Amino acid sequence: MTVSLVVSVAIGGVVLLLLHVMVWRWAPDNSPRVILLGLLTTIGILISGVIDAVLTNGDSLEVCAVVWIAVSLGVFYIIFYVGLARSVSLTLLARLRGCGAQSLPLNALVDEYASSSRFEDRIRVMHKTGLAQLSADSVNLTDKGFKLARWAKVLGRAAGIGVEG
Amino acid sequence: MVAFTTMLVVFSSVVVAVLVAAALQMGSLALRRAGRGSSSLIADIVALTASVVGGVVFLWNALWFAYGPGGWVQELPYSLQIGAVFLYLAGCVGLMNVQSVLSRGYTLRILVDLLERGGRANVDSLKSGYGGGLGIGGLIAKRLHSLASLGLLHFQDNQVGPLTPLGKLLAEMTVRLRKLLRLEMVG
Repeated sequence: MTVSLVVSVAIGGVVLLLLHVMVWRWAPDNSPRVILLGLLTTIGILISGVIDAVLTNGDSLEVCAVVWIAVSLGVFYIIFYVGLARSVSLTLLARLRGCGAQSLPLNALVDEYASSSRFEDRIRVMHKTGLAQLSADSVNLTDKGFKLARWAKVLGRAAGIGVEG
Repeated sequence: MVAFTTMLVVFSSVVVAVLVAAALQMGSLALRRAGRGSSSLIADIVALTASVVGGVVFLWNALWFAYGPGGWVQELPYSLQIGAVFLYLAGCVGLMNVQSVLSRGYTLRILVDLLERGGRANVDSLKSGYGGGLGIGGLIAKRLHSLASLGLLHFQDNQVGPLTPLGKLLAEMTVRLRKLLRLEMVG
């Protein structure tokens, strides 16, 4: 790997990390904001490409390699972030961290999770993204929500996995 | 023009390699569903790794043919080969993520539950009947079984915990990163 490639990818990556932490700390929000993170990632990729173009005097194959690596790392980062922000498994691990060497009855953990507003938060995010409409205590699927749910069922069936949740 | 052809050939090879890996993965899933193989988490990981390696073997050979004597590619820098491997891995991880969201997506399952109830439901009934009747208890138990299979915690006789050293490390990293990004309502 050439030095210019490593330097350009590293600078783009550091810019993305800094922008992400700054924006998220400055304006915290419960919704995952994946589109915003995608925009920040695009900025990081562009910076990597421009820096490499300057360092290699516009060698198109080198710039292409840098952009591909930066896009790949961006995809890894977004997937990692979504897991960090929404994973139920990680939330359970974080909860059990507080128990030290003790164990907890499953029912206590379930009751605690069910009594938190996490389920309702998902519904609020669905309302915010236009997938469902929340009114008083009832939820209605929107056209967009109907389409996504149908597509998920079809894709799940095609892949032989089913939407189990 | 030569550079553009090279990029196009390498990119096409990557796309086909990702499709090969996806086909291998779907084939192994179908075989296991048909009962001709075990369906443990370890078996899933082995099948997935085999599919990804299968795609890498395809990519390696495709690039070798393209760059070989009489091939379409005249110049194949080392950096572009690395870029192709990264792109291939990103494609595989992206597909794995789609598969994971389809099979375990929490929000997606709520949408499907709503769809199965005609598009309208009460929040409480939706919560108690989550996952086609699985409920929140079923959701949590399923996650805990997976975490235990991965060696991150102990889960026996309806007693959860304590975490294993690896589980503690992952939990610690999760808490710190969530704090750094001020992610309050999570998971």
